[in-house]
Amino acid sequence: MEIQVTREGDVAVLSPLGRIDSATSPEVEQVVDQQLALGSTRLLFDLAHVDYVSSAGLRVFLVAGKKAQRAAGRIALCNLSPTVREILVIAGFDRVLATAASRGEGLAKLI
Amino acid sequence: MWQWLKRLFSPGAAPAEPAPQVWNFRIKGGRAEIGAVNDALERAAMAGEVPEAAMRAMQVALDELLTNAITHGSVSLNDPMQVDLIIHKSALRAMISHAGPAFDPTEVAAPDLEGSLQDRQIGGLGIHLVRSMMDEFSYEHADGRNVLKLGKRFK
Repeated sequence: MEIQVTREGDVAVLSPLGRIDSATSPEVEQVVDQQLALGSTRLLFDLAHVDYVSSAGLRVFLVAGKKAQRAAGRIALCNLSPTVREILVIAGFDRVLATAASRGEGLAKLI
Repeated sequence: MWQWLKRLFSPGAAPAEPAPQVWNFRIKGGRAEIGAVNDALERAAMAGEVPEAAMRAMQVALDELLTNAITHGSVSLNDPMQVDLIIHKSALRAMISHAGPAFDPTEVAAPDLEGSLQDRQIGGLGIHLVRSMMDEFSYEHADGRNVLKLGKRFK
């Protein structure tokens, strides 16, 4: 899968394209680990071009959130489609991960 | 009046529901094959009148259940998993049948959704998503095979 990584100040913005499911989630996890290894502990997932997230994708967000927090950073998710929002709410992840309506709002939550 | 009389005396003339579209897949154990099922579902749904939300819900459910079957079932080249997708006028349905030890996912306990970020676990979330997003979710074990039926209604 394609994952665009851009930097906005201290924040690494990850923008995956397509589905985050059992087949593609290892690639997202790899990019997350690369960023953490580079010392980027504030991660914003821009989900504007993500069709859906299955439990394999939820696991990546959860693990990324835990690792970032242990490194004194944190993560946020922005631009969720109605389907992706519904999935996060069903999983109860909206209570443990920051979400934002736009990239700007997401960046503001990480600064 | 004339139209009404015609309808009254020719019950067979009412417009019949279009025949459902049926797609059959044989999955031999590769995860990429799950993507192929979901690609086909996406193309068929987009070409028809299936709302995107219903299609996405079914894609999530298929990713969860087909991944579980490949991981825990006995899916192989000689005994592939069968997946039938049926697109009705107002529902999407799927039937999944695979060999392997009997396992009823509809009976899996709901996961604990409370706790802090560090406390949260991922176990059980996949089945929880399926149960929450589908309108129909049933299981039977027949002839040594696990058979799952899913349905998502719309309109």
